[in-house]
Amino acid sequence: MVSKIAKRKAEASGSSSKFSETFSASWNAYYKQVSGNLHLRLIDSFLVVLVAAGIVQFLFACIIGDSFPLNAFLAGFCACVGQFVLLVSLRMQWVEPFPGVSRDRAFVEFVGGSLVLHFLSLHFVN
Amino acid sequence: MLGLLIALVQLIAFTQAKSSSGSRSLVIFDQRLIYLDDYSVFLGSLKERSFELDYAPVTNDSTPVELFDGEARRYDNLIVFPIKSRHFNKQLSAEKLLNFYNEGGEIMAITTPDGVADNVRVFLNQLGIFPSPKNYQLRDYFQDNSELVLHLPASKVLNEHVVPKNDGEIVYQGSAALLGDSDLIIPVLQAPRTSYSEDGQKQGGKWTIGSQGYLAASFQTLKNTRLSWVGSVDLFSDKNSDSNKHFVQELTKWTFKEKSVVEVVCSNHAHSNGLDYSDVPYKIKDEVVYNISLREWEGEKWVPFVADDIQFELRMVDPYYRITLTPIGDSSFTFQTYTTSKFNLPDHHGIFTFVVDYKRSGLSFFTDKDVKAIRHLANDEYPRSWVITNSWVYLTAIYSVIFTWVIFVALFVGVKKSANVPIEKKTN
Repeated sequence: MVSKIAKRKAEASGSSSKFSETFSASWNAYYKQVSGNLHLRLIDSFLVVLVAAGIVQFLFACIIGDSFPLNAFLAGFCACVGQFVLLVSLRMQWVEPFPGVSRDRAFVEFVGGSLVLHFLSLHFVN
Repeated sequence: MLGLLIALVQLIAFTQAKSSSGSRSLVIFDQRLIYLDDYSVFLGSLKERSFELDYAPVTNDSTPVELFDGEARRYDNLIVFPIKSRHFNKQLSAEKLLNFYNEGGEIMAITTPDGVADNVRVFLNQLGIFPSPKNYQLRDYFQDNSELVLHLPASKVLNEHVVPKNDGEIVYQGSAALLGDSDLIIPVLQAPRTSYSEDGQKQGGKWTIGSQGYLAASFQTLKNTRLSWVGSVDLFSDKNSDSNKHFVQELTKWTFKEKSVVEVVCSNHAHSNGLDYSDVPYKIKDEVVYNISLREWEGEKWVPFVADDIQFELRMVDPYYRITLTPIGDSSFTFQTYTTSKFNLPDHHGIFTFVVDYKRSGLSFFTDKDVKAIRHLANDEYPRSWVITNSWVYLTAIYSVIFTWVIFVALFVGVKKSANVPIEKKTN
């Protein structure tokens, strides 16, 4: 019995150590990818800002318990989500450009898409 | 202008007749049963009320009774006394009677145990009034003098609008009828609990027992054509006129539309600020007022119609509003105006009907309808986002995203050249 429990404990500690190992490994990989690259750092910090803005709006709507200007909420929330999606696609192409699409072109496309997004959300909010 | 028109209509009504529908009347009677001299009080009071009476005696060889001249009615009112003659069926069929009634002719039908013509019975049956067949006599052994002559308190009359209650008594000798379930039937006089109607010749045949029988009943179609049936001719005779005069007079007045005739003078609805639909069409949640003016014919003149149960409905399939109307203070001499007071249209656009549908047993029915569209808000009539405080949060979010994005793009372009070199080195 005792040996069994000890085994389980060992397994548990093993799995937790495995998790921290995996986490630190991925963190290291991420750090390595980002460390020398200012563009990726910029993109990632913008992503964090967008997530924070989205969460704030969602919590606000939940707390007041009313979705009354629903169009305004959708416009605000979708602006964050849409910008996030556009930014992620820019990041993917920045790390490894798609065949036949240069980084510069990806950036220009990102700017165009974002302008369309801003235009739409400003009009949707009325 | 409206007042003048009403005055003119009144003047015409005054000179023509006291009935609001018409005064040409036909009295059909059987010479073998009825001596008109016995009913001089009844017929005299009709003449006094400016009815023009024509008489059509029914005998064995009389020609068909013509109620129509081409397609137009020859008479406005028809009084059918009890008729024994078998030829009457051919002279005036039940279909013709029904046709006359359909075309707006008022009918007063009187039957007795020995004077129930088949055509009249068939016609009444179609309305849901089932008078007892030939030889059935109403009896009540709890009466003082004779079991055949009933003395009924006049306060027991069932409908105030047809015959107002009074203190006297009604002397009745005749037959009873069963009534159907129709809402258009107006029971007027009910048989006493101790009475029954029995076949005078055969033993055991019963038509009504106790209060299931009715002695007088009225009927009003949805087109406000009126009919009354009474199961006794003695009710109208001179010998009983002292006690029955009130009942007979009120019943004939009702039947020939001399009273309880309600009419819509005018109705209108408008925005609460006075502008009407043609100025500014209605949109959802607008504040509006509905008014309707009503009058009642009471034999000599139009008087304001007074009631506290008139309801207005705003309908689109279902009523969105059902408002009990209240009278507006200044009542003119000829009509009373009722109002819903201000109310807000529903938050629902569509084709709505402004209706007052008033159907009360004994009063003439009226329906006043007006169909109007209620539009939704136009795209520029909604509140703008910056007016709504809730949306300030979302607006801030959008503008902050745009602002951050501008800075991001500027920085991204700015760092491009300095950062490009190490990336290329790395990938190499």
